[in-house]
Amino acid sequence: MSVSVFRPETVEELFCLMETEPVPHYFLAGGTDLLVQAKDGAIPPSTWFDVTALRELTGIRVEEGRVVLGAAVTHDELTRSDTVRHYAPALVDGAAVIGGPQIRNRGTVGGNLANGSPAADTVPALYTLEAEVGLRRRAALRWVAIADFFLGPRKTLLEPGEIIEAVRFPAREGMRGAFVRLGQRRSQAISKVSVAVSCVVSGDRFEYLGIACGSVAPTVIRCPRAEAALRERGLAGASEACRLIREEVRPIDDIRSTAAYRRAMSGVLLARVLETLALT
Amino acid sequence: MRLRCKVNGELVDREVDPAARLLDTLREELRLTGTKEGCGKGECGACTVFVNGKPVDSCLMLTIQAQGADLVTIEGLARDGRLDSVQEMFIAEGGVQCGFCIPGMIMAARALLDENPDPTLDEVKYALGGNLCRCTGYAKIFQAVLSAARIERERQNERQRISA
Repeated sequence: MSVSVFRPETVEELFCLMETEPVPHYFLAGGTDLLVQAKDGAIPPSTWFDVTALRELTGIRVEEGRVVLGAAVTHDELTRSDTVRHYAPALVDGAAVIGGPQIRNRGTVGGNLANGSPAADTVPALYTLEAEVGLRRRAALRWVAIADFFLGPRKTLLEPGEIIEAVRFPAREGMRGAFVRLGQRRSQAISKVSVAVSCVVSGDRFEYLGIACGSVAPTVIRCPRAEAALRERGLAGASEACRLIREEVRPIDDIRSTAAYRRAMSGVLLARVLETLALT
Repeated sequence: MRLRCKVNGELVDREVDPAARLLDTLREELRLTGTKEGCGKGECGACTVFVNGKPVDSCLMLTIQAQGADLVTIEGLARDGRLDSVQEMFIAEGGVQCGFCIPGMIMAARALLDENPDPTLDEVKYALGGNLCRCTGYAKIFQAVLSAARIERERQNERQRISA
């Protein structure tokens, strides 16, 4: 594999290298997608930038009413973060299901976004939280709504010359949520279908509600019709929501599962999540 | 690149290929062949090593990413010729058949017990979820981990009793 690799210590140094080093460019964080693709022979001779020494991409913090996750935050860090558990429990569930401990210790939030898979397990929760992705080009930082960031399988809005710096979402008190998925195995399995719910409940009503599904469309999708049924009737709308979500998803047959199974299970998984949330 | 890091407690300072996988640098350059390549794709865990105390798949790391890091391989678990209790119990419980998955399994188990000295069976399964075995059917592997946890707790209690 003819790859030249650099490990910049500052974002400034990274952008200088990006200007001088030959394309194509790849960004290496945990390597849990990129090195697999390289092993499969899918990566051409290229320049790689290891971003794991960049402090600017680390850290989980709350600022100006938002939770901000550095792009290099690992899935393991997400699962151990009290902040993330408090404001985004569905995201903790998503991160906890990825791969196995070795993968979670290296794989990152930014990498999960950049890889652009509709099966990414942190992404449904981020959709339900109405997250934004921070894209940096030198001194300029732009925030893109997560629902706009993904264009299709493996295609994102990230442009040449840009890096993912962080992802952020509003810090809402009383946030509850869960994420469940079906996979061939309990660990080391890419999701066949997944459902994330994030909600703030007031009495028997939803003050805030987000439902999203993974592996059922070219990108992760929000499920506004299922959400509407629950917003109108509270948990009494659960079976209607589970019926509607089956109509909202647009799954295909592929190597991992069938459209029919995914469609049916989207309703089952939503029911399971709502049961979990009702009981706690 | 000039790699400067710690491996099994010893300082390493040598010229290596930054773009080589950490797995290959460990095996080919440092001749630490206890770490195995089972899949090269982060699925089997046979290449598990500790980087700054955390178990990772060394087939998914480039050597440049280990700059300044504290690495431990399977060879680093035994101390002064004494096996780690996880190693002892894998032998005692018969958790080894062909042996190929074992270094990775032991590393994953060691990481678990370092953090959680009294795991449930479910916690053992979750902690070893990144390690595959084709031979044993896992039952004796899990038993070995639980036994290692038990004897470590017993030895710790004994040490505390003696020093009290």
